[in-house]
Amino acid sequence: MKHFFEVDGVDYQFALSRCQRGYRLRLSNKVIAPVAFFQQGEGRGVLTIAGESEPVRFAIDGEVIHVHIRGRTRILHYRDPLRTLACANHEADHLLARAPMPGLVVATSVSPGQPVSAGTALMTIESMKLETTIRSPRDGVIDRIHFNEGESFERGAVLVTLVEEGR
Amino acid sequence: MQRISSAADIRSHEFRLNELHNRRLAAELKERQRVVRFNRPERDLERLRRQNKLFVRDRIEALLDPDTPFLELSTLAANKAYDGEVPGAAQVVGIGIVAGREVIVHADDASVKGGAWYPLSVKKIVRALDIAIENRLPVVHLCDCAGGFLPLQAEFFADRYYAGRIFRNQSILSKMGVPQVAIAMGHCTAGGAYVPALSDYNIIVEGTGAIFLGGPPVVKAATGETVSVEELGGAHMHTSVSGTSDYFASSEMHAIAIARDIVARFNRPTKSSMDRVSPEPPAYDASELYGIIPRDPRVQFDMREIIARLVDGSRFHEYQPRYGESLVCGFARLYGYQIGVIANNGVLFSDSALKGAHFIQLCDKHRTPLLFLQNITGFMVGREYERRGITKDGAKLIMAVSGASVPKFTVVCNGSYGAGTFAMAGRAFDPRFMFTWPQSQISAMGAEQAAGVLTHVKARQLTREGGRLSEQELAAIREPILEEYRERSSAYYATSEIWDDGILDPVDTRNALAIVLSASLNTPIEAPHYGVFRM
Repeated sequence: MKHFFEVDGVDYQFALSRCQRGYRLRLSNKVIAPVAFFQQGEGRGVLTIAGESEPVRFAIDGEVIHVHIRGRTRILHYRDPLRTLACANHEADHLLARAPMPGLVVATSVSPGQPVSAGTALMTIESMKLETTIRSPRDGVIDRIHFNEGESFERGAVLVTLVEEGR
Repeated sequence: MQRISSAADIRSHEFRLNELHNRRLAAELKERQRVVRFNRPERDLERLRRQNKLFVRDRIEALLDPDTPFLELSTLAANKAYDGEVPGAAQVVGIGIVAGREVIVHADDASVKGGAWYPLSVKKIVRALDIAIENRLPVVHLCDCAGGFLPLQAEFFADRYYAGRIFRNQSILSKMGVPQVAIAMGHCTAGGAYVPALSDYNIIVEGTGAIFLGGPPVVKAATGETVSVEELGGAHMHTSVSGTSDYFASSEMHAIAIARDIVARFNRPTKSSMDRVSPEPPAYDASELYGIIPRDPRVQFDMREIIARLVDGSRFHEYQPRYGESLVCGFARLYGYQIGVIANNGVLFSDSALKGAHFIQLCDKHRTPLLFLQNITGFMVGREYERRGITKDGAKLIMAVSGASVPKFTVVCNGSYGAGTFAMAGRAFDPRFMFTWPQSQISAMGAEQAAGVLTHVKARQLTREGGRLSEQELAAIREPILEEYRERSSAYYATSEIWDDGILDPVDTRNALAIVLSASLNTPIEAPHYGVFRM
């Protein structure tokens, strides 16, 4: 599978394969070879592109790579295919926060109309000796809260409905 | 493999309160361990010095390779027993490195009641030797035991897993070709005499070491014969006359040097082959665990936050993420070894049990050791769930947990209740190692629920006899039940009774698991086979 990078808002796909002196880089229809990298200490090294060597400085922060080469700094974002490809289809179901188990509502921490982001605590429920926080499955705006404090519900019941922002 | 992206807000008020609470628990654990390891009445230490004996901790330090890890097990055994007067059950047990080999160290602590074996001392030694058998680990015994504590003999002598089991386990180890070395550093009397005698190699220290079935007072009482310790079972006699001991040592340090020389000759085990890559630290700091574990044990938390702080690169390949969501299953690496993780994110339903049973078989088929992270209040109850077969689906999970041939490891992270304890590889299911976090609670039912049931039963009895209880009377019944229940479901009680192999500071969990995972691979992994799954 090809790798995905974003540089200055543009997505690039490329692949690396072994060749005699380093690697062969395939970028769209172009082939650049040889490509090689020799690290020389923390955040420094020499990058060879099509046989020409350039000193580079770099810093890696998770999936973001800062590269300083030929007097310019560029920021590369690595696009993990597991996540990039998964995000491609948003499911409507994600606009619902459902009950993972039967129980009753202990407290509600949001109200209709309130914008929330993915992971925001919506509600605290109690079931089988456990207090569980129900969190927003995605960014959105609270549409409806289906149960009041103290009310009980079955497993899978919709507890909170969201609408997409800007609607 | 994708990195878990943590949703924990490390700047929140909640996080800081949890952190304060859990750091306090960790500090309390460390302090209790320190006291058990080092606090002894001065007269006991003075007696050791007079006898020219080293303190048990100094003996172990001299035995181990310098600057190598030592994973001490069941440090707080017996902390709730015998009025707290037998720290560590008078035994020190752990996994350490001697001459480059992983070994079990088992040492009597003569600074506690002369190293006498209490019922929990016997349990701790038997467990240490079970670990040696299961993981094919050589054993070094540092013997200094005055014999069993006779007033309690009925609780450690005759039953299947009592004192005889120590000697049976030693014999089995020898039969398996797993070597043992013993050093007689003090009087090895009665049962204690068999520890060096059943070791493949043993060393006896001149002057202080002695081995006999009955010491001079017993001989005097039995036959009227007057005999000195040295004549009856000393180093000269056993190494040159009886052949009970193999090596004569002129001091404890000399004996330890001989023991190390013996271990250095042992064959290095061939470890089970397993896919392994270079280790990588987790992307999230382990110390954040303190802020993530809720200070109120009833509050649910996402186990993925724990997994993110245990495994290599915080990477987790989650299996069936959309099915049976209350049981999180997936693959990760720990110090480069591939493992399968099974963790509770809520109560077990039929679908979560089915998913767990399936995942266990998957890991078993592919030789992937299993890590169980427990936070389980039990299986879901109710008419609908029974009709859907929650009991038979739970049985499938228990069947899979019991039958799996790959090494299993269990960490009780918070709650461990009811049938959930079983289904999540509790002690009875022979995980190779089992650890507990300080706040954990382990019991058949929650304290409140149990107190409720028991109070209800008492009230009904009285009603039948025509009486009735006032609210205050009910509370008077309820409170002591609650109190005792809480006490006996605490992590400290569990570890006191050796239901686990020790309480861990959560931040040490990754290292402890790495040591035991490496140790477990000394034993070849059998082909998977199971009993009948009720479909």
